[in-house]
Amino acid sequence: MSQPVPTPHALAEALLKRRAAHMLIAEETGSNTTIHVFGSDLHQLRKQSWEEFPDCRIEHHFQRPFRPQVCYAGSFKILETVQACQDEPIKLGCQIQPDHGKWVGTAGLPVRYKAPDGADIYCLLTCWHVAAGEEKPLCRALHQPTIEYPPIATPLKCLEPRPDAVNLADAAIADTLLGGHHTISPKILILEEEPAMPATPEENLNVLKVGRSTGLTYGVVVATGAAVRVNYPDGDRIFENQVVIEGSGEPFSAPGDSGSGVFDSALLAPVGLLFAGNDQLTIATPIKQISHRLGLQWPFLP
Amino acid sequence: MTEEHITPRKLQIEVKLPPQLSDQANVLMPCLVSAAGQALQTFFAVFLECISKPPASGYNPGDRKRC
Repeated sequence: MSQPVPTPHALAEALLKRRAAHMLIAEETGSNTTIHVFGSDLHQLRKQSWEEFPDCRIEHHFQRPFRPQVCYAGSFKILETVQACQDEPIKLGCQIQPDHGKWVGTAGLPVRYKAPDGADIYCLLTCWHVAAGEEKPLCRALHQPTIEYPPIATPLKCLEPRPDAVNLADAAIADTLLGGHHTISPKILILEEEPAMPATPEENLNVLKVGRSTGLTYGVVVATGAAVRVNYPDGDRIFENQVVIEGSGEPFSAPGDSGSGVFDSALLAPVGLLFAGNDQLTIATPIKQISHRLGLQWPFLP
Repeated sequence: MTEEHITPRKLQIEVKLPPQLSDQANVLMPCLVSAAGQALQTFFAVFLECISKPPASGYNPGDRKRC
């Protein structure tokens, strides 16, 4: 008799109880289920019992904590295209900085938000922790590439993850209408193409992203439905149903790439929003998970 | 009075539309919300403003030099 595979939410609930584990992934192998437990302290992990999954095989793996890919501003050089100032209409995949924020991230995807009055609002999608204000949930304006240049968008709506809760996303949209014109292009920097309709990420899918720190990189989805613990500056946050990506030969992301869109590399279909990682793996949220909750419409240009 | 007797009441207003506007009345009815309960003259002012408003949405890319 085959065992039921634990849901991403059940994995996240189990992760909430244990500070030492950073990621849980359930793998179905024939009629058995294996729970892969990742953490930086294997001794601590092995002492724990996993009574929630009585019939599952538990495997422990060494893994460093995941940190949101934020880079503190001040010491970086603006040399590459993705870090440089862009003229309008701005292709996304470029660097942004919130006013009153000492960090930079990436403006990842052009998205269309359907306002309650039915109006289409053309926005950029990034991470909540990129667009967050120092004291408020969102900053007042996003600048490109730094606050020394004019703003390009006004944060509008966010999915703010909470400590000690099971979260689904760390995302924010910002209205790009300024002075009667939209500041952004439907195209992605370097790729010079418009994204296709969003798709669901699956294991072994080849993906790419364009981000502020590592530019264009390629990788492969190694797991979906993962529960992960992300190490924010003010405390950890647990996420369920996340996508795990491994770089192809080089790291897929680095601090500053938060907010990048992750695409199916064959179709250029958006599949995720990059928001965390360590030196080996990158974590992204399925784009449909964000789209549904923020009220986004596709395609960008109806 | 029990709870089930308390029902929301919609404000019913009767208006006569000029013949050239009557065909569009259904489409533009949401604009009536802000005019409800006011004089007919005000209603037509709002009504006409709704007609003359440019579309609320539409992608309009800028071409400003920022750098």
